[in-house]
Amino acid sequence: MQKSYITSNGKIEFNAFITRLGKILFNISIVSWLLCLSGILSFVATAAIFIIGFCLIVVSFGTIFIAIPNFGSVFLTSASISTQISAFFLENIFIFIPIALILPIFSMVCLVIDKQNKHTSRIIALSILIAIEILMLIGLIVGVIK
Amino acid sequence: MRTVNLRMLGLDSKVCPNITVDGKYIKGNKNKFESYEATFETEKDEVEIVITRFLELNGKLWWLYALISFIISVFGLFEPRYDKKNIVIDCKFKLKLKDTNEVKIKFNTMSKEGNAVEIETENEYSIIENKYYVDKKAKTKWTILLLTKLVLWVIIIVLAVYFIINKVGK
Repeated sequence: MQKSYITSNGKIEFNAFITRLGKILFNISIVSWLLCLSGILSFVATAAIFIIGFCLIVVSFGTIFIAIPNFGSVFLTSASISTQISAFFLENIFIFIPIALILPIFSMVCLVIDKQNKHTSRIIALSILIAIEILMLIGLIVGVIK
Repeated sequence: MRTVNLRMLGLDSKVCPNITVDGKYIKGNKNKFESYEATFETEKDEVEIVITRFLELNGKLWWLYALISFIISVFGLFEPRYDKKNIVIDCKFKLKLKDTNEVKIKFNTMSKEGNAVEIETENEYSIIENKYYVDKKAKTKWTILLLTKLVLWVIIIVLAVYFIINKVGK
């Protein structure tokens, strides 16, 4: 039988959990920020769909039109759906932006208190994210972003 | 009072060991040469240095933390993966102390077996244990966790499809 000297110290275990929580919140923060951004900049989502569609045509050397004959109309329908999604986020932007602002703050707290590892790159990314979201919120309150 | 300087080389974020001296945890700081240094003082003539590696799945409350993580991360969608290899360090050695004590601990690349560290010091020392090995208990927990997640994902997908069909039907 293998002899182990591992001490399941509760503090270390809790610390690892807090770090995990920080990483989860970091991932969610990025997505929620993108959702807010797609609400404000509705063309971002539409442009993304067009870019993906264009890449599919190029990669398949145009054969995608043979495989999916109505590819063009599918493409345009997706673009119109993205506009609807953007409109939904824009309507509820005052709910989404505070949520998107709280998540990176919690994530940052979790990562900063980790004594075992340094998460410099994540913390820098979160700081930038928080700054952008504060600017977005100010822009919405002032009325620069409509 | 005797001072011991420990210098740890070859460490990366994956290894992340816990070091105890006579049962007390010591904290290492990164120096400008990208290695870690730790200093401790003792009155003793001999100390026992233990190096271990903590796995998240080795904890007592691993199932609770895994469950909370799974829920918060939107059913595991945004969750960082658990260590799949489950390699741990089992290293223990006794060090006889002089007035000045410089110990260099070189960590070998993590592998399923083999020596975990190489020790360089002018002090007299005796190695009790020095190896990397796969923690079978953690590996089993990892498999259980994966299977549980798969079952939950299937249930979630079935429920989602059921609700969507019901909503569309109305």
